[in-house]
Amino acid sequence: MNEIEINNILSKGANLLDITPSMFEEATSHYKAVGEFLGNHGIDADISPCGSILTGTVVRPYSENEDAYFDIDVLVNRPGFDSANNTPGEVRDPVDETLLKSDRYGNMAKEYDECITVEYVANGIEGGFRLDLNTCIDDKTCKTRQEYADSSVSMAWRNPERWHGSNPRGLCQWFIDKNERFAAVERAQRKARILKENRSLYASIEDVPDSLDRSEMQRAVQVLKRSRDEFYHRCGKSEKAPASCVVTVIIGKVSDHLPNNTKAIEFLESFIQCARSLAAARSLPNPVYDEDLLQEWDDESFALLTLWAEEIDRSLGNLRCGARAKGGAAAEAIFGSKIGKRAMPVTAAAVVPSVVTPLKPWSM
Amino acid sequence: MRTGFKREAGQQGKVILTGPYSLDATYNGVRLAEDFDLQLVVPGDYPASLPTVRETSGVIDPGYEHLYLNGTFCLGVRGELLLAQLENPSLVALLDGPIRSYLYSYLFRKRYGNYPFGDRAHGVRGILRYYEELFGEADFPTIMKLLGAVCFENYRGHLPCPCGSGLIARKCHGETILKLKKSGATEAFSSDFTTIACELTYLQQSAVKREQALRQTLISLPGKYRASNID
Repeated sequence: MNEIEINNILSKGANLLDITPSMFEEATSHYKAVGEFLGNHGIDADISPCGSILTGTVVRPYSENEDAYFDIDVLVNRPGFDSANNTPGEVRDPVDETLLKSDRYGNMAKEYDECITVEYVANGIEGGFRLDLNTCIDDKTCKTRQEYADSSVSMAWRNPERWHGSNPRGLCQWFIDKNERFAAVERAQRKARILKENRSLYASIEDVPDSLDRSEMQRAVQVLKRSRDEFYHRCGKSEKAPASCVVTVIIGKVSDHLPNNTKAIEFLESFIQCARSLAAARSLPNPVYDEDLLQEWDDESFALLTLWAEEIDRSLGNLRCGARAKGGAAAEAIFGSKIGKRAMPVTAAAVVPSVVTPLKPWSM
Repeated sequence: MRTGFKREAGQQGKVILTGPYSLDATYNGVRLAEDFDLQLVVPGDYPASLPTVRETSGVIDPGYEHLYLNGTFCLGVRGELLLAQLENPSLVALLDGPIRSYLYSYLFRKRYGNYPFGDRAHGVRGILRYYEELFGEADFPTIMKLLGAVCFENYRGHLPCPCGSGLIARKCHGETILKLKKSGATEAFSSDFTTIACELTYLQQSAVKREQALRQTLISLPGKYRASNID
């Protein structure tokens, strides 16, 4: 297979994992409704998305089931409070109690230390959502980088009750800024395609939100997130999988050295190199906040990162070699069995592997 | 894929088959594909004896724990393999069964650090587990008595069963013993028996040595620290 054909497989797989325009609109209406509901109950809060829904790198969560819920991160920012004079409980309790005690959200909401989640049951064939509502306050005193200070926040966490400094929107903006020059390439064509496939949702190209458009850089992040989930699951080490922000930051960093027309496969190749060098450097600074994203990692975490990079490298090599069996296995290594099969061209997908009958125990 | 094997005559009536083997296999939703070159040495008395298999293209790490010292594959419990071979004497069945399973397991272990078929027992424990299932007995000494009866004793259905149940063999494990004795695979069962016996002997000797060392240590302690019944 040539590079274009491989890139098409990567894009198709990522697209199959992506949120659909109708789901995106539904998710948007859900978090806006939470904001209105809180406002109607006397709680002043600005609701805004962050994380993968904002960076355009959302993928369906890894699950054996088709109907795995999308996790949507949302900031519930409460104006008028500050960390010096208010406790986290003062800020968060009213939000949680209002939702938990309400007829509308009571049965859908569940409280965790970091956030409160509201779960929307699967609607039809597209699956459901889980909104992670992170109550926070603006906090410019955080250890954030100056150019992103406006978006720095302190999260209200429980058990123990504490302020947790962070800048998730700053990190998203950092990625969006990096992504812009890649997104500008063929944006009109991509949005025209989205419009053509979603006439019932949008009347013109201008109506198609940028947040539904996917650059090659965003596709690369989506591919990596699913490849990560599949690889660490196969290793039985899902708890050691790098956080999505680690993947996003690596891709953002390697993008500095890549031309505007870089394809997803080339992002993956740069990721492989960077992942290998991280195993030696053992440090990945958060570009918007004074912290090392790998500070909690142990030797096994770095060893697994190197093995994951090898797995991606092998998969791309096997797709290139053109043999149908190896190519099919490579696509499934990246996307998992179901999506991997669907991402491959029909002729390649027609090659059916044998089912292994496990032999009984080994001898000496 | 298992086409393109070349055949040549070896010593003592053996037949040597060499050729490419393209693995494309899936288990629990994980598909693996890789190209290997294999060499099968089929013994002159096949199917009464098992072929040996080795990989010749260097894909398999020579330090892999499930290779014999001569580099051939440890495909499974010899008794089990030979029983299956005698029931279906087919090299294709060997390639599509134990060899495919072995190569898949190797690749999975190499790439993902664990074995794909769950926590199956290895080594002697694995062999014992196989005979445990075969005889329907969980007690290891009992399994060894039954396996010994298969390998080394003449069957007498009216005599007490070797398992020690007190029943006559015919009404106890007689049917299984007789079936295994008649299978033609007693040589492989004997090999498994010897392997287990060697391991158990080694463990027993190690335990005796440890006990002696512990006793010496305790005896050398000053009297006030010594328990009264040590000597």
